[in-house]
Amino acid sequence: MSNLHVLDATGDSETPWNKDNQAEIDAARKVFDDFKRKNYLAYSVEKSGNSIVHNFNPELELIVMTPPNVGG
Amino acid sequence: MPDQINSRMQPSIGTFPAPMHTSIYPSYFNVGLGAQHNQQMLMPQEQMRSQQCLAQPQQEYFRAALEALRQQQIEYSMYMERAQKTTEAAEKCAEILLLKCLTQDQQTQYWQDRSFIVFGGDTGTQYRIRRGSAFNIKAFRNEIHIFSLCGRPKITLPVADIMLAQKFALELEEKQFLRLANRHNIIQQNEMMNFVRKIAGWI
Repeated sequence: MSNLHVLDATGDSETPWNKDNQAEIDAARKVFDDFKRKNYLAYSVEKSGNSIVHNFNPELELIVMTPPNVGG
Repeated sequence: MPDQINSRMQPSIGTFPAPMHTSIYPSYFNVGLGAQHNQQMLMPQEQMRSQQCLAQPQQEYFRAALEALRQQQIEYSMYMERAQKTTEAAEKCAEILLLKCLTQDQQTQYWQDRSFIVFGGDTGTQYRIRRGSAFNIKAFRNEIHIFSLCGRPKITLPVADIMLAQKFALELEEKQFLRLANRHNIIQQNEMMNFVRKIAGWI
């Protein structure tokens, strides 16, 4: 089971998907694309190392989307 | 004379009737009722009669006002309690995700003092991200604190989420993050302080 976490005021909202379930993949892809349009940044967290995600990949285990950064 | 006093005791339209002998009511209730010395001129029986006539609606008014105030206080305390619970739940949720994304070493550091070290993906600079949301990133060179950074996601997030976003930004998009984050140079500040001390010594 893979997960897409989008950071928000409640902590984060989670969208899980199963690699064998196309409907779940489509739902996760839609959330990913929606937040990408809002300039959210996406990162994959893997044991081998973290990386930037530009396009949704259902093979990834964990994707974290963060709002765009600003100077504090 | 009594007629004159009674006419003065008639409450004017639009003002709430309040007797002069009660001190708990604000002074604006005295409008249209005459000065206090007029009240003292009333005979005890008349005083009692005026009190009976005016006290009932007053009491109801203040009882209702007090009840409304109590209700507001209860609602406010319930709202604050709910907000606190929501914030605590959000913090917990954010901390779980943060720990999931930290490496073993970073997790150990986080449990020690709620901070962890990351290395900039582009420059290799060592940064310590402390628990906080403003100027909570310290950059080190040879274990000397050289500057602090303040940069964070643009929406309101729990502190652990802010730390996570900062970690990703520094590890994977360091140059972009450095461009937008506010920077506070510690070395320059120290040099400036040394210069000021030197001048102060000369004087």
